[in-house]
Amino acid sequence: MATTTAALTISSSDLVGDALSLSTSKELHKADTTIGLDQTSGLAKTYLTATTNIDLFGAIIDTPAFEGKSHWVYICNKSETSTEYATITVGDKVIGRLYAGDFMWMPWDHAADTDTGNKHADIELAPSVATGMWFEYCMIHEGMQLPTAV
Amino acid sequence: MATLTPTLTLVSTDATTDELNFSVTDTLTVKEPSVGLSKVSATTTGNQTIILASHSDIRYLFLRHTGKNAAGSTVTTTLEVEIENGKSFAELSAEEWMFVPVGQNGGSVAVQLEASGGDIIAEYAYWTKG
Repeated sequence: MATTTAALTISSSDLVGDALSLSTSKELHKADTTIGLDQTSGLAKTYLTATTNIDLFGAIIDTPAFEGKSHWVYICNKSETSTEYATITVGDKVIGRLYAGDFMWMPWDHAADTDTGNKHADIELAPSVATGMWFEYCMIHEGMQLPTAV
Repeated sequence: MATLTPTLTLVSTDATTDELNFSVTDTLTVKEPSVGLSKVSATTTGNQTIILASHSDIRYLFLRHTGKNAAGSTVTTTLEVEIENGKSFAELSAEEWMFVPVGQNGGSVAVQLEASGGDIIAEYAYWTKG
């Protein structure tokens, strides 16, 4: 059984009168168990040169075996130009923007929403410029659908 | 304006043959409004627990399922994180947490929480991009 731990600290010395120092961590487990996640995409890096909205993590399509499984996703905009951002969408829902240097860490919920229109919960990313932007990403999970060879 | 420094670390000595161990730190310039670490009791009705009202800024949201209910008992129910009423984009199990930028300039986004059963105490904080 693999053990993977995600930890987050958030600090600020000038936000409020009392210095902010938030810290939390969690072992990543398979859904409804205390068994550690044992699969990963590995840490990947890609250079995107179009503003096209792309699937960073593809949708599960009619594969119930993968529904409800645990997936964790890390995405980081490695651009060093402060105005460059990526729009992040889950399914048809725009979540927000990752500006240069910003990262996100969240569970990937394929199909917990029972609304039929929200089943295809791909994670999409759209760069704000076509002049080239670097992104880093990783998924740690307990199983996912891979495309059938053609 | 103020500076916020989040650091994410992922560590595993045995998930792969090559050890996973990386850390990323960001330096965020943030402005008002910000909401410090807060607690809410999420129920099975999402629009009773709106933690982020509609806005047009980017807000960095930290959210954690405490694994407890309002009575202090341990719960195993899950916490749905919804953009708009009924549209879930993430699900947290007990003691899990997430950190995401929420919002779109010119858009209108709100985040609300919904327990899969009973009630769940959730912790959250957010900061607005400066």
